[in-house]
Amino acid sequence: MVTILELHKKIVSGEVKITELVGEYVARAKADTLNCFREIFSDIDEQVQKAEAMLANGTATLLTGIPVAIKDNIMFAGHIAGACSHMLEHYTAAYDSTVVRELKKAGAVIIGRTNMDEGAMGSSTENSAYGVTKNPHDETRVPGGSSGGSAAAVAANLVVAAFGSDTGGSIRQPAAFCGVAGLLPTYGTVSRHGLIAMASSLDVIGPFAGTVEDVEFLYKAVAVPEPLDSTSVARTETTPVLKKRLAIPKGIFENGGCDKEVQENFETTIEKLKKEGFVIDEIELPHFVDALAVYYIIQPAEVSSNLSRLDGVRYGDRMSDASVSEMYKQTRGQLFGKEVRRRILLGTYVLSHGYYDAYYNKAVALRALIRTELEGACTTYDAIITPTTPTPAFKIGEKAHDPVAMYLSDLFTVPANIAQVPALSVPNGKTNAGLPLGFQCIGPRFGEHTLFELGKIIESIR
Amino acid sequence: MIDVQKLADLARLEVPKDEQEAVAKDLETIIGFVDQVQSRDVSAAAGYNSVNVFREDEVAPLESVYDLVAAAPLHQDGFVKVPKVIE
Repeated sequence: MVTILELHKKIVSGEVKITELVGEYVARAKADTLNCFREIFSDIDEQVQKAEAMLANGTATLLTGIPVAIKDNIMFAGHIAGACSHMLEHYTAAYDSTVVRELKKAGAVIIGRTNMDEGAMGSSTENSAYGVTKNPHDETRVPGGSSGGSAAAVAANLVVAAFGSDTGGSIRQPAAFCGVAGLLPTYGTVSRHGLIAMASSLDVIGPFAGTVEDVEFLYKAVAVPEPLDSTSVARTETTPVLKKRLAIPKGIFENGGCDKEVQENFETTIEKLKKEGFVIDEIELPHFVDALAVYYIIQPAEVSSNLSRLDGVRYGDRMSDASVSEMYKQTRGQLFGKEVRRRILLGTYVLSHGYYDAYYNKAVALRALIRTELEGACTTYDAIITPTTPTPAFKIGEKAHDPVAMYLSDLFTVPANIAQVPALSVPNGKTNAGLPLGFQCIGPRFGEHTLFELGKIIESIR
Repeated sequence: MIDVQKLADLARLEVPKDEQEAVAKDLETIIGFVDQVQSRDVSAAAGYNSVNVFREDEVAPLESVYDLVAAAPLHQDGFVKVPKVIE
């Protein structure tokens, strides 16, 4: 897989023409049979011209002329951003998201929008209103989700890089399933401005690419403070000194929740890290695995309130001329898919009178404990490490009728979102059947640079 | 059993009668899973504070206002057309 830096050097030296480079990728993307894309944009030529002008006048950046894709919930002015929901099928973005604005500024060429689980709710892209994306390594399997289209597009070499959003693992889990690198940045460092909101205290936009270094370039290009986002914070620019100490949460391989092959793959890398001089301890993080239950209270609660705006008045097609209340019900009932409806109902339940304290308040208190535990561990250790997912990519349809089994595929990724800390999934080889696996490093808030250093070491010892 | 009709009314979300039993079953399973939080001791929990960044509340022109309104299913002259709310 070719890297951004290699392409950049060839573009700058004139060995590769931007128009030809983009043309090759667009041709492959148009011929895609995996269903990675919802749309290949029609203004690619204009974007290429802008990139060529930057190259000509000496203002080219690392990303100038690099073909990238964005998830269908990231707004690009004048283009449809549908979140793969019938509710937003005709919704045209009125403004650029911060991420798109920065990508344009850098001269990247955004060639299309990618498939995803509807509203970013799911772990397989099976909840997309437009059909599942197939895993490039095994077309009978899911690519993961919710950013499955972005992960598969990078893995299938249809784009050099792509952006997704990660609310409970939606970048890292598909990155692991598709064998690419994916970053969940520290909450707030990449602005949510122009991201179609799902669960606002958890949503973060982040990059996919073939290598950790490319992920780092992409992160730095889009992580800028955004005045229009009250949760936007400046990233730090510190160069890390690795402590060479890593922590594994005790007990994560108990109770049969993790595939034996995944565990062995993880332990092989642990042994290699030890040879590199790393000290690796198992530590007590008693609430690490509680994060998933906490997530499935807080996330639906935020969904049920956030998605109230999708009502047939402000968004969507109005599906009825009946009374206002009936119109809301029919529009929402008909245009939302099964999983989105389920989460709205679940959120309504946990926030309803009589259950609020037992569920929502309890979950918020546990969330604070989880954050304290993870941050505490990161004062002694560079990162907390786990396999990114308990299993490799599963079969299409395998978990479609068992919501909790589906949710469990995010067991190791959810804690970082709950604590609003960064986490990186690094490709970590394959199973005997040839399915990719990921190695996850969870860092402290603003610890991206440490994660990049670690990720590069893990890549080099594979 | 979870009363799906009541939740659906609260959420302004139609759930067809013939789907309600299956939806209730799924919700029961998920609630059964998240119920583990009830037994956890959270007495040591500090508050969970997210950073909120404030700026001056200044009036500025918004060029995309017509495009924003155009996202609504029914609109006219830069206004969203809403259903009749007073009988």
